[in-house]
Amino acid sequence: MKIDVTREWCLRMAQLEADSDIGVGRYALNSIFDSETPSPMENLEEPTIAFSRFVRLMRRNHGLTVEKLAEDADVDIAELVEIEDDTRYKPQPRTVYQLANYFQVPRGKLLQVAGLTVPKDSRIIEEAFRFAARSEPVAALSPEERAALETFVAVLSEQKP
Amino acid sequence: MAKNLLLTAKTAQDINNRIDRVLRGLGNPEPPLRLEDVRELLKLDRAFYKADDPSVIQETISRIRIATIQVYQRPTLLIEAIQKFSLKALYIPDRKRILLDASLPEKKHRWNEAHEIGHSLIPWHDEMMLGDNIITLSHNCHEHIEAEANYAAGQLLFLRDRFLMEACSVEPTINSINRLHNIFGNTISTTLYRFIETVGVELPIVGLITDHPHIMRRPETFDYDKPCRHFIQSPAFAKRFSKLSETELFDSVSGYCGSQRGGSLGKAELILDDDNGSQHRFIFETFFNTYDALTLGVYCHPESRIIAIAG
Repeated sequence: MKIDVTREWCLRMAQLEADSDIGVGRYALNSIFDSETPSPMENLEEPTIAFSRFVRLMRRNHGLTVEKLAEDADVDIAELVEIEDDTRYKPQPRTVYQLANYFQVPRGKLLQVAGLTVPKDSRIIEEAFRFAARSEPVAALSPEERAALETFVAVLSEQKP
Repeated sequence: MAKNLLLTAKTAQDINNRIDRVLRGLGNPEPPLRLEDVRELLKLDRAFYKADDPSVIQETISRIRIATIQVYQRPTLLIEAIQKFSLKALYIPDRKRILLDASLPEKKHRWNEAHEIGHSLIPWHDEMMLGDNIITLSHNCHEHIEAEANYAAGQLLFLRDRFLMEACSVEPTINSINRLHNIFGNTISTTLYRFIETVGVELPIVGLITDHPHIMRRPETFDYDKPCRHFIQSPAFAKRFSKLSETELFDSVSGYCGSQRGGSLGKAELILDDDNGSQHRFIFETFFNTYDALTLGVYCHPESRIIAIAG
């Protein structure tokens, strides 16, 4: 078999490499081309950042401690701590259901934000990222945080067309 | 085969409450539970489908078309889902209908039906059972809802506390499991599963469902890296012996099993290491029902260490 390395191909590859270190051996296997397309699992893990922030801000907006929210929403307190502190944590389906009911947001959409279902509605995920970017978990809700939370809840609550 | 997934206390309690309500609604029946009574109480409908005769699925689709826009837009959704996942059963919330694969042996219908009844009883599954979500669940979420439906099926078919009472009052042996299997009318495999999870809350118990462990009797399809169809750990076992692999255990079991064609294959005392490296004695026994080999390993006591002291 003849391997044809064209000028166009070389230029394209050089562009892809950009300023990355060029390696051989073990590191060469770990090429930049692998990282071009993130794996589906990585895609799935991203939205939980927004879910983590969402739960924390909604709780603070309701003026609740973690303990009180766990009690009122009937969820496990240890899991609630995990959700708020570990953005990679995958919550139990029941917990998302209970929190959606408690905060009165659509369950199906919150499942997407929690990363339990693969997002089909990309707008929600885009909005989730924007929300996560705008919300910094600090002691009291700032006007910006409150606005971000309200916008996000509004998007979650929109009816499907 | 992955180890069985244990549910959190909140989830298990929620499901228990729902099953209790059903059993109360049936007047706390005597075993074996009649699933037709459960269906009647829950107003569920059951139908069978065959891979080569999709008429039941077609009929269901034609009815859902009226009620649900999503399925109307993609009428082949159910058939696609069934083919994609090789589903043995399916629950359709809108119709409150359970579809079962008619080609499976009748004994397995009971478990599959109870599993789908489980889905119908767990409200947070509704969002995931139909429409786009059926093919877009994350792997982790899918595993969870299946484990929850299995848990509900176990609680239902074994009548909750009734099985707990009976299982805790007998010796933890294969013979006892055989007797309970006849009383409750479920398969011996599901009885073994339920027994381990019920009796093993405090007591470490482990179970394996495998091909015949004897080297001469293993089928050609036997996969040495995945020897167990089910590797069942009791909660206490999972907590203290989490590092033991199914292959290690299967190896030890093969060591004492005879090559008999059926019945008891043998019994032995085995020493297992816990997560801290301490040794513990278990009594193991294996039974072959000509399809599956069922192994039960029950904790005895810690193994005392003999320390030599120079005199």
